[in-house]
Amino acid sequence: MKDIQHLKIVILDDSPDDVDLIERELKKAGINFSSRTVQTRTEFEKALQDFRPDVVLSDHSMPRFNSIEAFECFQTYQKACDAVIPFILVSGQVPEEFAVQCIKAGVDDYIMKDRLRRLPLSIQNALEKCRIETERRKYLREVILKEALMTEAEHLAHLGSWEADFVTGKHTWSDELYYICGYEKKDLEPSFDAFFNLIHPDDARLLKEEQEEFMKNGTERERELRIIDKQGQLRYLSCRVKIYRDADGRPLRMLGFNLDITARKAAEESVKEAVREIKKQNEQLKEIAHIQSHEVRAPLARVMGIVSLLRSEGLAPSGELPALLAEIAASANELDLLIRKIVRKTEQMSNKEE
Amino acid sequence: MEPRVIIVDDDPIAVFLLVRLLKHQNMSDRPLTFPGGHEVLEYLDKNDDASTRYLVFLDINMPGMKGWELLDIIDEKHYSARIYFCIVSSSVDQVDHDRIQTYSHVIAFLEKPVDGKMLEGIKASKAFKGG
Repeated sequence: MKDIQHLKIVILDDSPDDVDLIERELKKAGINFSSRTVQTRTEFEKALQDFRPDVVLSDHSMPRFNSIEAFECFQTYQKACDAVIPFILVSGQVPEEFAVQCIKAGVDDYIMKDRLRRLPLSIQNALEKCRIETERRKYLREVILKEALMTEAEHLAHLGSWEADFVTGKHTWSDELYYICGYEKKDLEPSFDAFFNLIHPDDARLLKEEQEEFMKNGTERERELRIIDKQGQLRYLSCRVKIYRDADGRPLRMLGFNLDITARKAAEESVKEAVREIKKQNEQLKEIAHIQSHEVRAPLARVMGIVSLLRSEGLAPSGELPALLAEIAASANELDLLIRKIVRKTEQMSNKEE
Repeated sequence: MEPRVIIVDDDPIAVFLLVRLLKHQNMSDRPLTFPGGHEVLEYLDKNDDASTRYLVFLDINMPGMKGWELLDIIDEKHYSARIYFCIVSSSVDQVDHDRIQTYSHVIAFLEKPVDGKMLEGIKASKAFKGG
């Protein structure tokens, strides 16, 4: 009993003599404890809240309270503080049927008052049982939390995972894999065939050929696949598969990760589309530049030609001067209109881009 | 015999300037002028006498038939061996410069406005003097 540290015990009993007997038995067994004795519901509830016992010992019936009511009370308390504490019935003779019923309801043990020598061991066993239960609950909570984190992480990453166990024949898909394929869990039983049916026919043919060889000798593999989800949408997956074998090379299980890269593919496609569009615009710009080099330079060449004519001795008689000047003015006007048109067009083009 | 000088250009001012220059350089007193490719083809088909040599100042950028098209059509004609061309263009486009190299009967690429200096080179060429 040395390994049990100081215990706080609530004793529900209306008989001071019985309480005395119980405590004496515990001391005799070397249990280090402090106790609080209560007789009514109010006292019991207060003791649970304030004293926070490690063990509850309850008589079957008291003048204003009984073990059934006490156990209900106790269960409410246990649930509220998420604790696992032994509740042991310590009573005079009760019908066997009732004792069985109590154990079934969750009471840890039943000790008759004329057999109190069994009590210390019973407490020890019950404490051990509760300790294991507490640990199991803690472990379960951690597992559940990890599972939830995993599911969340897979969802954020658009990463679906699956496992095929060749020993049991069981296939498991993660929530996200169902989500990627567009299916509800109830709509689709995981299997190789179920997945193959979703794969784009062109990819499925290739994969079937590779699969045989991979099952024989492969360990790890990566490839891209296209699937058609339940809504008929094409999805791109980056798939990774790992195979685990026994000492003789027989496959034990297969683990797979399918990353949904549809969005990335779409982004790549839109970049390509943008590049195509820019190239097209470039071609148009080149064409415009080509046309303009003719159009714009025509009136300018006229002006330059007339001016050079006027400056050369004997090429233009003075009588022609007014007509030639009028031509210069007309060409200058044409040039002005052309430049305005170009400015307007360039503005329209840059507006379109915005 | 000096060649018959022909100008093909839709721009009347350009034609006027070139005519004036050709006279001044004593290259042609009365060059024939046409506003487009169809017109000059019609003239040549009707009037070619199987011996006349021609020097054609051809504008590249005309509405309707482009200068290049006219070059290709004339290439197939029986008088093509007697025709030399000076391409005249307002364009300063590199593409046009490069394309010139592919036509053997094109002897010059003149950028508008054409001036006396440009014509001196042509006047000295075999295409103008003959032989």
